[in-house]
Amino acid sequence: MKSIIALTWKEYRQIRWFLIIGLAIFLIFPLYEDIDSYIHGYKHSYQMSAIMAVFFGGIFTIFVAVAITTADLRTKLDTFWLSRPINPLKLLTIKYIIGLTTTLLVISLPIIIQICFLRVSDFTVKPLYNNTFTLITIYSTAFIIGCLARKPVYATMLAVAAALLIYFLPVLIPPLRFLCPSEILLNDSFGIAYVISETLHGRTFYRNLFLDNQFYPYSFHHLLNIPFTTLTIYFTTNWLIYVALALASCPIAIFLSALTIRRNYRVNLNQKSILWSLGIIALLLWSTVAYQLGSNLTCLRRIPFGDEYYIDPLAVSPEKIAEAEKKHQSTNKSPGYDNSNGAVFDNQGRITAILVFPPNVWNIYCPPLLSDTGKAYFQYNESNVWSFGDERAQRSTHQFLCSIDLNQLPDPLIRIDAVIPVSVSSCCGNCCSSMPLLTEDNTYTYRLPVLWSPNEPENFFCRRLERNTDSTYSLYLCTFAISPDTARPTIINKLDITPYIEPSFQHNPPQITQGYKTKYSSAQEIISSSYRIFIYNKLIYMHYGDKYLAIDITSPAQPELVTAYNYRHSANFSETETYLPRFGLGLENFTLEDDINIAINFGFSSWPPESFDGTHLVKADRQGISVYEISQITDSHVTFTKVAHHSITPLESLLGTRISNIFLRNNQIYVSRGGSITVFDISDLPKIKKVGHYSSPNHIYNIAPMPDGNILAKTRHDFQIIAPPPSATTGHTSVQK
Amino acid sequence: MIKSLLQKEWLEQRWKIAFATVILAGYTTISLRARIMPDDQIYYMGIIFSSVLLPIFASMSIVATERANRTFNTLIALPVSPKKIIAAKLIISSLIILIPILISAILSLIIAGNREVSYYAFIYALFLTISFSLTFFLWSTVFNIRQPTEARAAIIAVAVLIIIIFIIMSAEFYFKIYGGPVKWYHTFHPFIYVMFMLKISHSLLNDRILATLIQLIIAFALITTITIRFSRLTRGKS
Repeated sequence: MKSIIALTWKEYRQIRWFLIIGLAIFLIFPLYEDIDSYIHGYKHSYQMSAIMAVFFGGIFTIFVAVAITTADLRTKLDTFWLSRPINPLKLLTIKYIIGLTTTLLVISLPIIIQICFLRVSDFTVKPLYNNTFTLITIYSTAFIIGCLARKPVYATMLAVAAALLIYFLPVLIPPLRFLCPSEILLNDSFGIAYVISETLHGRTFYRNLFLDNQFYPYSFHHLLNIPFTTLTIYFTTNWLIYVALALASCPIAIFLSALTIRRNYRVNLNQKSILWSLGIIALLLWSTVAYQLGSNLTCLRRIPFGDEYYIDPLAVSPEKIAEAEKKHQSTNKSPGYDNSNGAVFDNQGRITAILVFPPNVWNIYCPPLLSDTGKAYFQYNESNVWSFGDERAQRSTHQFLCSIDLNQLPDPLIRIDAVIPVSVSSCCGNCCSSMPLLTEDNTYTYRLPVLWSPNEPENFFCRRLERNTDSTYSLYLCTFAISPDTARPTIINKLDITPYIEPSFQHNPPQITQGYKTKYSSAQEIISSSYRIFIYNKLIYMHYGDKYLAIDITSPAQPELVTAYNYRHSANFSETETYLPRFGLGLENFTLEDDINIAINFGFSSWPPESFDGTHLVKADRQGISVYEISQITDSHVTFTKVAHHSITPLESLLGTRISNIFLRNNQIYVSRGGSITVFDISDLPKIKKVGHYSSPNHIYNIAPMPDGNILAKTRHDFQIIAPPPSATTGHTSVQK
Repeated sequence: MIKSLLQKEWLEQRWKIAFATVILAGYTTISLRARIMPDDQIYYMGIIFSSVLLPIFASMSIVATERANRTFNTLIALPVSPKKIIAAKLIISSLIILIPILISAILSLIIAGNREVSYYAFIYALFLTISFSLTFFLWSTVFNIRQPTEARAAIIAVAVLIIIIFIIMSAEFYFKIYGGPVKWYHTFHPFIYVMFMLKISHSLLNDRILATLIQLIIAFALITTITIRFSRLTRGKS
């Protein structure tokens, strides 16, 4: 026992400077962030300690492991220690434990301090239960290397090479993704624990344990008076394997180190061989990354439009590119206010027309409509008074439509052709898109795009949700007619489509509002976005929940539901969210505690994106893309069956954002994600083959197929016209009814 | 004699030049050919590699290698003045920084010249990268020239970098709160070329020329300090 205490004290004396300096470094930067935020009154989440742990934890771990091993194993010293009456296993075990404790203390203590005293984000908490185990693995590896190399510099370099492999090999080899540190750190599905939210229709939905510094079980138990027994904490299998492997590395490292010392194994290295090994490993890893992410598609042309423009949705016709455009914030307006203009580019990138919208306008995120008759239609909103958080301000928003005749462009190209107020709703600041308030006539009006057929420009269609007297809701497809005299629209027909749809409701578990300690739970109806509704050949196609509706508008005054396609898929379900079916929502059947205030918010989502070419439906989700095929057609139903799925690789997951846009043409899927476009071939289903990739210098906001077969990509600064993969053929695939 | 010294240093250091060149040029070629990222981001990563790792790599082996290999006493016993010895060492060590950067720059121009980054912007960034790398190399060498092992020399170089960053952050923090002659302060600190590159400071050309001249004076002072410290080391003074 005495020898253990003595050895422990000796190891502590040897490593104490690492502890002191490490703590100083790992505490100074979070402290700097804290003081800076305190002085300037920033109210962001504190995460510097986590950043330090993630980015510098590995190298610190290596330093400690190498220092603690090589300190006693250098030439001559090893003979001295082996001559002592101490079991090498005992010596190395104590060394291992003291070093690991030092490492974890230095890296975890700043995080724990920030969690205890400050508002932190989820990112700050995760390294504690994820990154820690990666560091244990690195420590074990570096410990063995230290015993083998026995020279601090070489051991450090070799350990860095090993750490590179630990960090990046799972990223580059998809089957090892469950060991990938970035995936474990960033992906919720690899989390430590989940609390059951609901079990509905035989399906269990989970919720992440941590959120905004609120420990969920604590919130449930202490603030919502829900007993702990209703909560179940889960550990995902992947996480358990990851932790088990990390922990298994500890005894393995100690055993191998002891064996190395007993048998006097050592690797004789010199600086040259170490550096070349390190360099070659780095280059090999980088080459693999380049192979996975390198571009093989070429950009044919760039059409810059200057920094003062900000291009949003776009539409493409054979000769024109139309888009809604937002200029930079003007200096003489309220905060958050932008002037919006509409612009039409020709295919050479020249602006051929500018629509100057009235003041106080912000555009709606809906692609402009280019008609065969040469007209372009834009939709935008006008806010009379735009003021964030000012309850006294008058709050009203109007939706407008305007059109421009592309064949008769005026000179000097500035024109307002028509301004048509569509509807009026009361809204509050930027929450209008997700939380419209009830208007006087009990009608929810969304900033949803209207539908305007090029062939019937005097009529347009809009969805409208109304609250019934029994507190249920009905969804209508309203037909508007534009009065030629006043240019004001009137509703000429309301088609009730409620019986044909089953919208999803997203349920958010109870949360604690910071500062107010109020308890609330919310349910949000997920309503189809503008991208999921379109007119084609006098038919309105509408995607709602898991159904497609087709409505005949040959006679605009009497639209008629032709059919409702139904497809089954799992893409609507997210692992961290709970969805309640419409009829289960019931304020009466709500299963949470009675004293929780329930707020129902309605909004629409443009994500996940999807594309349908008449045969295949392609849908993006967080894990990749899925392809569905029509398996059965009856008079009333079309059944889609999932036939293939392509998961994004850990590297793509690490580097890119979620899939933002997707379209399907000629059995090729074009996916834009972050700053890249990837093309997949689905001609040999269920195999999905990657056939093209393009990395843009800038983030790609939108992509659209061009009539000549090329791809039009829109970035913040320019349009880019990109050649498709060689196997692609030009021309559109028509949509089949 | 200086030629012999240069040849000796070249023979000792050439593998390091080859290593740094292969890594930097390999990185640049792979990245630009595969277009794995936008060109400017590839250049930025290359600049970080060149500006931070190469100076540490170069400065750690100036004297520490001789002392670790126990050839230092033989070297100073030669009938050559310490100034010439350290001059030869500094020149060849500078090549560890210069040759990889220049070869990578030439490859970059061949592969992606004027593709996304203009020739002017590229050459300007190249000039600033070389300037900063050499400046940081001198700052590191001043402090680690007397270290007995390469490991210690490398740790000192890293510590110099961390301390410089810490001082700069503290000063920026101070100036933000209390105000002060920020431009003059920027003119003197070692990261001035980085600030030029990021367009943080010294927007006027005259200011930039003045700052560059002051940095040249500082570089001369650093070289003098290195020579003095090396001379004292050869005389066995601590």
